[in-house]
Amino acid sequence: MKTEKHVLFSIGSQMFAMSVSDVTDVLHNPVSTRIPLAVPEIVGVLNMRGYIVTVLDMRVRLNIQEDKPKPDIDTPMCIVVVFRGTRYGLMVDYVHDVVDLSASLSAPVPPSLDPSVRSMAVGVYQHQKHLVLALDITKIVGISENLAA
Amino acid sequence: MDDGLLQDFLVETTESIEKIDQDLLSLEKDPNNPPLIDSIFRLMHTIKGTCGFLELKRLASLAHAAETLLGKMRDGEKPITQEPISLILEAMDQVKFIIAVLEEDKVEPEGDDNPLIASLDAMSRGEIGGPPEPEAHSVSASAQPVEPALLESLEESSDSEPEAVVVSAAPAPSLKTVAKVPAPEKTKPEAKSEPKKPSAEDSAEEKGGAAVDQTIRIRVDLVESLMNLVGELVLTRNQLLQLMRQEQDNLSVFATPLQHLSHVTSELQDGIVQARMQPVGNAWKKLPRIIRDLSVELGKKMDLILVGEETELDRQVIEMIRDPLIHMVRNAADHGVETPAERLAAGKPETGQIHLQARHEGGYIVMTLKDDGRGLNIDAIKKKVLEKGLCSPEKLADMEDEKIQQFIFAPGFSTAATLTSVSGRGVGMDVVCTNIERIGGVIQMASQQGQGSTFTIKIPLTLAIISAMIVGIGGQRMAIPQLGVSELVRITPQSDHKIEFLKGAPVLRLRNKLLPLVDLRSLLHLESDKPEGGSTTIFIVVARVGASHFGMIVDRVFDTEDIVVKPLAPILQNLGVFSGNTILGDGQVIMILDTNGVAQTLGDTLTGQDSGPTTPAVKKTIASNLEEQVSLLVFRAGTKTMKAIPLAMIARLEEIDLKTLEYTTDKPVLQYRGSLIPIVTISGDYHLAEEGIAPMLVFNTKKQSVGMIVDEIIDIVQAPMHLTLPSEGTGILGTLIINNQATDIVDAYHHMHKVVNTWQDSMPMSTKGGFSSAASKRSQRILFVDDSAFFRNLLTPMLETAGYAVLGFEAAADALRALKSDPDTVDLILSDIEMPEMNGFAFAKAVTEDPTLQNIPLIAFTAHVNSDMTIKARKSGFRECVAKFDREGLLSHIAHFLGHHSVAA
Repeated sequence: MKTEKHVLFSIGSQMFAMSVSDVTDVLHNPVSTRIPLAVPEIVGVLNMRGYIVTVLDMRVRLNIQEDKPKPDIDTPMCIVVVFRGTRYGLMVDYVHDVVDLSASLSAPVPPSLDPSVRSMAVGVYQHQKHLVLALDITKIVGISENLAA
Repeated sequence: MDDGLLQDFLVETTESIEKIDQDLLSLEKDPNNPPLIDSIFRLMHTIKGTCGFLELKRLASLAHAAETLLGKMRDGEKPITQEPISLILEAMDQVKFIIAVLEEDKVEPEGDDNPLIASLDAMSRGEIGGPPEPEAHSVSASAQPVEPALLESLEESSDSEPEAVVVSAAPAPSLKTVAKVPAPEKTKPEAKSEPKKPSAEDSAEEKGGAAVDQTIRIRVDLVESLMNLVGELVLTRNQLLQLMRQEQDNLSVFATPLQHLSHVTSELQDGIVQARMQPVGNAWKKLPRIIRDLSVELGKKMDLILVGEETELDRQVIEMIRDPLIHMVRNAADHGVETPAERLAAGKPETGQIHLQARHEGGYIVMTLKDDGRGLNIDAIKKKVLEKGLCSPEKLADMEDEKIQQFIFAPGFSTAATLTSVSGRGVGMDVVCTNIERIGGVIQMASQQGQGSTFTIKIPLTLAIISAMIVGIGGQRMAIPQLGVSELVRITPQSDHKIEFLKGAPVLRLRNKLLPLVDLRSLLHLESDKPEGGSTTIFIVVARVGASHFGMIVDRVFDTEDIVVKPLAPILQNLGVFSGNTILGDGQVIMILDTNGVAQTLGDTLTGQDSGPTTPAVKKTIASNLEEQVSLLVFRAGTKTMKAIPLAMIARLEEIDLKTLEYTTDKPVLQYRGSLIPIVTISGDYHLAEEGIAPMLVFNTKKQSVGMIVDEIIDIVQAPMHLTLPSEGTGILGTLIINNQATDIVDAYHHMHKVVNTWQDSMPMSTKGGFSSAASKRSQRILFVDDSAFFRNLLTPMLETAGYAVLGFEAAADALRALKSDPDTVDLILSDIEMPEMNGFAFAKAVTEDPTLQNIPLIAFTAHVNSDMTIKARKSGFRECVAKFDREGLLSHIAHFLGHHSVAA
């Protein structure tokens, strides 16, 4: 059975997954420099071991209004990915684990989903009673780049 | 002999020989490979040529013999077999040997290659097909004198020699010889190639043993990645130093090693930057050839003098300036240097000189390109500027020559009267300028008519590390590249310099010049981090863009620092005001401001000219023309209300002394340019002062100028012609809001008509008849379509004054409907082109396709007449295309068509 390793993370109460192949780091509570005039989904830029990482707020990107479950305890986390040679940080509420997700358990993305989220989703997995929405990094960052262009 | 030249030759030839060696071996395996033998032949030919040039006789004759043989093989006269190849390889070995000696002693060794040459020649002639051993023997023997020492040294330095001999002998045909002949002679060439053996396929190795290989070739991307790593190292070092400073006591044990690390890092950085450096001459290589070809093509005599070719700069920068330089040198040759006849006539030597010089200056490289040609022709530039509408005639008249020269950097500008293959494709200096600015460079120009032009380019040595000023803006730090910064002004409540506001736009008076300012904090939407009303010391970073300066208001200035420029993520590249980002010593990422981008937010005020105190520069974009922006001269006369007249209607602006006014039959007149012109004022109850200086607007009619005296000229503005109030009083076309003030648009024709009683005389001849017999005959009717109320209001009275009846329409569709319902009412149609819904072209098509209407002459009437427009207009059915404000042209065209039309009818 074909499985692929995914990073599990959550924003609000929703679980998401993303293939680990593009992920280089996970940062805790990153401090970034705000960029004047940038679109709201860009949190800023930060320095990770000499690489400049452009941080995107996935909450804005995925249009999630729901608050963090435990705002006092959890600091935001940032999943760093490499996309076409540029490093991007995806700011999420919490990064849980790296798990194997079996492709055979994947279901197509329901059409009722918010279109902006649906455009980034590649499938729905079941993982330990949770429904996990798998996102495609090329879509997350690629679409942002197109928006900016 | 020139040592440098010899060194270059040695390096180059060693490489070529290696290539030949390799290729020969490949050829042996694959004889039916014409491109391969071609390549060998060419390399050999080059060696021969260079040797001949350097008077290296032994080498030249060897190479010549080998080339001849190769030629035969190439032409198929000699089969490509082992024997000739061996012989050539042998010749190559001999060449290598001679080169080795050449390197040491700078002269060719004594010796005789004749036997080898003879066997090569014999082979070429096809006289020997057999093994060439005897010759080979004698050849080796002939070279013997130098040999033992060489061999000895090689033996010392190499353990693997015996093995090397075997390996190299395997493909070589002279194995037999090695076995037969006592060691010295035949081992010599083999031993020479010994260092190559451990990795026989690597061509770069061959140079290994020789002194020639003071250089090695490295992949560019490897150097790039080293550069990046060093950049990281520098940043980490900076962070450590910062920590060190903060906690001096606790970490004192680290002080010494850290200092050492810092030192090594700096040297490493210098070294790696050096590794990327190349002589700027690499970017100049094509230039002499270009100049030679141009002198032939253009029939000019010119010398190109290159100075400082060895000046080194980053290869990336070299790549970026190569094309701009070529373009500039071409320009100098094409536009700058005159023909020999012109030069002699101007008292200059027949041969023009183009100097290109490069030198280091601070952390920059400065290149000057100087020609002693005709210099920039100010009048030609002026003409072009007006033609292209880059600036208004009034501004141009007051502009200094230096400023006018800067127009050559304006987009689409090219002064070459005709397109040549050389330049004048209209993508001239603006592209050069853009390219140079893109790498953080600055271009300046000085030119004196008749004396030549000098262009100075200042560019950073490297793009990766730049010197930048770190400033604070609203609590954020940003970097401003030093290159563009010309000075820093500190402003405190006590200082003489103050930020002033002109119509809300901040400016600074600096040494009697008005410096436009950009408030970076508001540009970047940043909050102030300073307490309101507290200490208000701020700084103004004065930067230069093109020929103009502007200032950026910042809150703090921290430091200057060498920063490593990192490209922006693609997602951030559209913001326009940042050119990159960098990591500071404390690890924080900050943005690098793009001075040019910031300057652009000032709009066009910076392009072309320093604007006067109140003059927002005339917009130059065609786009704004399309919106029917009209340049208006704003002035005050009589009442407080601002008044304006379309600039295009005004012939000149003068200042007159009121005392010089004279009166004929109580009407004021002025002697002006040798004739008397009538003077008008804007309203009857406005009386002229007795004396003083007053501005005067001069209008031209066909035969007569009219002067209009006003109180004060306020401004020239661009405004869309949307009249906000219908005109009430006579002489006013309507009211516009300009700069938040209600401004009356003055009907200049009305005022002229008041005084010029010979007005009719200025009318075209053919309308006169209509005029005099207006009562008996119906007036000729003109249908006039223009969506702009301004032009309808402007032209209707003018046409009526000229004796026509005018039917005005706002929309082409309405006009068409009216025409179709009553086709006989109209004698001529005048139509705007740019109109919403149905434009002029469509309208003209519709009219010409209707058989009842197709005989009515159509005149297009547009803000921007050019050949494209005219062609397009003609295609759509217009007979003529006339510029708005070209009153004379319009009237004469109307007269022309109506004259004919009425005759025909």
